[in-house]
Amino acid sequence: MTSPLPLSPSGSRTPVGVGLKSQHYQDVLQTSPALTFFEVHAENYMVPGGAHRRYLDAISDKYALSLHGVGMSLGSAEGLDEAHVRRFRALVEDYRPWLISEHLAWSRRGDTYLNDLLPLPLNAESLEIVTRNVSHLQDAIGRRVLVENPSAYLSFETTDIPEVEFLSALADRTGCGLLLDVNNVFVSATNMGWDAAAYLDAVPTAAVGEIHLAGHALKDIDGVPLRIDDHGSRVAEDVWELYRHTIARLGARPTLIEWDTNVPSLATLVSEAGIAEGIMRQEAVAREVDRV
Amino acid sequence: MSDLARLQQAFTDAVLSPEETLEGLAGMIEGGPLSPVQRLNVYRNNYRLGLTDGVAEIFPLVSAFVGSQFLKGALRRYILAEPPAEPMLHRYGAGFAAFLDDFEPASGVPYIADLARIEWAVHELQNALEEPLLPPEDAEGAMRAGWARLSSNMRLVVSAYPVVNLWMVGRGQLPPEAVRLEDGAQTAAVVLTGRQVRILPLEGGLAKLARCLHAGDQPVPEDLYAYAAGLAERSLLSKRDGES
Repeated sequence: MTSPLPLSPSGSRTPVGVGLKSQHYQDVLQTSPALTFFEVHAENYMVPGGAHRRYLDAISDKYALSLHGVGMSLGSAEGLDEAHVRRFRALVEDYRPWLISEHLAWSRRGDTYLNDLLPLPLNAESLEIVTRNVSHLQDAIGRRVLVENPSAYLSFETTDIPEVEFLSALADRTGCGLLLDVNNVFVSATNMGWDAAAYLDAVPTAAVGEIHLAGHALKDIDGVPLRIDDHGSRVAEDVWELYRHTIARLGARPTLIEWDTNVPSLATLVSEAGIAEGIMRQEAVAREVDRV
Repeated sequence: MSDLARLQQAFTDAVLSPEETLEGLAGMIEGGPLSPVQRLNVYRNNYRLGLTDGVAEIFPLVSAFVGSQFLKGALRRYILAEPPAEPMLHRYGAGFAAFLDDFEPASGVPYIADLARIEWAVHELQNALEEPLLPPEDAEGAMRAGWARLSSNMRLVVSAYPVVNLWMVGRGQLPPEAVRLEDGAQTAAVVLTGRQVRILPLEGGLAKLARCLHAGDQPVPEDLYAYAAGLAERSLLSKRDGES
């Protein structure tokens, strides 16, 4: 049997990447770190010109690119903002990214854009709406989109579909893939009292096109602990364990380290990515051994 | 309106409300160890802190003059009064200088809004495309023929205060004691050229002509044509669209 591992554009069987930060542009070009891909927030590059576009041009010549939208508001009841869909499509055409992703969240209501990934009630009505929006985006850009599970700090009384089932149904209905953020699963599960491992075991294997890993913060709110997804530190040990569990089940997947606040050196990011790569290699060997 | 649309409207209103509120969301958010209001506050805080910190980075000199506490306090009012209308957050903050004009607590630093205008111009031009410029030798002729304009790679800040000198103080290029507000009005040109954004003071006829073009006054007074080459030498002029 041939290997089930997906091949990245560079041929890596254990493709790892990091979120591209502007403070690392020079460093990336000068040191050419051993990574398969970089991921960028699409909205930051919706500019006519300037240094950000120049660096992205240069870096995307050398590395595969993952285009990660944070403002499409796939959960908006009023539908997508057509002007934003056009801007997104223009970036897809300019950079022909390897991976394209967005979030199961909303951020826009009327003329107001709230700078956050806001939670949705998960039920038949919202599934209908998100299905319509994801299909519309995929049709408009002519590409498959990976939809990411967000971090949750609350849930709505009108939610009656568990998140992992909602995402599975969305993938079935639209053909979209999933961006499985293992840190977000851990954060949401801890905050909302779900079982993280059970969530990960229910994720539809074939749909997962990318994995996100990041650090989070532990806050104390009047004596009650709450985990906040701040992308501001190393990946937590609990999350590495869940990642290993996930890779053992899914096989290797393009894996990205996100670090957006208190941004460390590029070398630190690359070393975190190296841990993910090591886990993918070990689990691939374990799978081979199992097969013998 | 769908249930989801109603919920999203109420959630938006709650996030933007100056006070904690569950209005329109009562009975919709599950509690548990944390109350619905405490849970909603996580999103209120994410919105406020994320946006305030992001926009504050655009205005380091305003921060140097009034302190980061004051700047963030002003930004907290601004982001509730004029929330973003689109997800490209690098374009958010364009109205902050005008907000400062009317921000009563800033009345003791009347020049601060113009400094904010300069910093916004610098920020905006860093993401601009450079367009072809009008060569100085062609400038006066082009202007007389009516097809010269201020370049889209420049922004004009007309101030009643010595705003370029204040900017230089903020950058450490002038000692504070070298600038007095009584020194009077300055007109600043912020210009992107050769991938660099620079700030130039414009004086005399150059300032008059730039202000005239900026305001769209036609025709240009006869005595100002002589300054067209000077503006072009400073990379401030382009041809009108459609002129070859």
